[in-house]
Amino acid sequence: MNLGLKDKVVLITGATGEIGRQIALDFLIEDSIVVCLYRNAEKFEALKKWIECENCFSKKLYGIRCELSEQKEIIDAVNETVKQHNKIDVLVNCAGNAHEYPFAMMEERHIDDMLNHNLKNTLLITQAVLKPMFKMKSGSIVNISSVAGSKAGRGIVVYSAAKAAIDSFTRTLASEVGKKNIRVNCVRPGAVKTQMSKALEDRAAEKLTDQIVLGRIGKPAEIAKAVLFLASDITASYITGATIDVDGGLMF
Amino acid sequence: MQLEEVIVIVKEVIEKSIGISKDSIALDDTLFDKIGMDSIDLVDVLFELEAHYDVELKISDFETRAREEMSNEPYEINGVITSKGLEVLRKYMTELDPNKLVEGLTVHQLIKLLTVHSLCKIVIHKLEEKSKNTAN
Repeated sequence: MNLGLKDKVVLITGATGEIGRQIALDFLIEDSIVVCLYRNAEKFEALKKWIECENCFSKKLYGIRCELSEQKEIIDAVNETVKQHNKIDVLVNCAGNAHEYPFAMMEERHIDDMLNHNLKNTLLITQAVLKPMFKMKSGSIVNISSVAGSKAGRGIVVYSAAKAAIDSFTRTLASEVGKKNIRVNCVRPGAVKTQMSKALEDRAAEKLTDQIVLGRIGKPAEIAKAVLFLASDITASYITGATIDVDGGLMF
Repeated sequence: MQLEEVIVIVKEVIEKSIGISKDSIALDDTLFDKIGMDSIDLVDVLFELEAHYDVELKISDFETRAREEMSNEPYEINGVITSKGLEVLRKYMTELDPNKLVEGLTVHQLIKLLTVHSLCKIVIHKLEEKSKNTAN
């Protein structure tokens, strides 16, 4: 099916991660222009190599170094993208991180870090991107949240709170910008085979798959498919404020 | 920059953003009640004007001059504009309905009183600032 994403300018955060890089690859396969905001130049180079190893050309892949906690850097990166490509059609907020740690023992700086990486940075980049999207009177924003935002789980209290906030942010922002033809949606991955979920998988793989209706852990490609579906104005033109759980039917 | 020149652009931008005819827009029309804008439309209009004039505009810019005039006295307390704040607003925002600038008015309610003229004034103020900075 033609998703109509050819030459759409797609800004992605967290593209050097395993889910993010798959999302970047899938947009490139659709012939989109993909601009990745990265913090680590080596990781961006590794992303380019990986994209080429996947038999996809990286000539429409661009990178801008950007510290997502710095509002000025974000605004500069957004302006640079618009200067180079004239517009931003799609924003994919994929940056985030999680590590398990008991909440009762967390220090304030760890709480701040977790909230910044998983919530505040997303708010800042989204706010910056709204300006060019308002100007075009169109745009699609896809936030990557997590089933952790709606399910119980030990050691992920602050991560879970941040992701729940992303779900709420998605709904409320969608209602705020809908009449300017900007859609805001959210994908909530369940257990996906990445380094980030490895600890959980190593510890309780069998128990985990017992709780998944489809009986297996997901793949980054399965998350990316949902992201492209929501980003596309052909497949999701009448979808906004929605959250799609891509979790194989997680039961707990 | 002459008010007449800015009015033309402001009306065009409102027409583009809200979809009402620029010919039906008057200088004294309130943005919210009369023209029917909401806060997102106002953001949209400010973004368009920013792009047109290459200046940075914020919703809070409308009251910046009043705040600057207050020196050491508070302009608002917990979102409610003080008596002195109202006095300064009457002096600088003469385009607003003075009957609405009453005790208890909040910062958020003030936005609802803004008119097309208020938009024009803030654009002119920003252009003057820009011109001064360029000259320096």
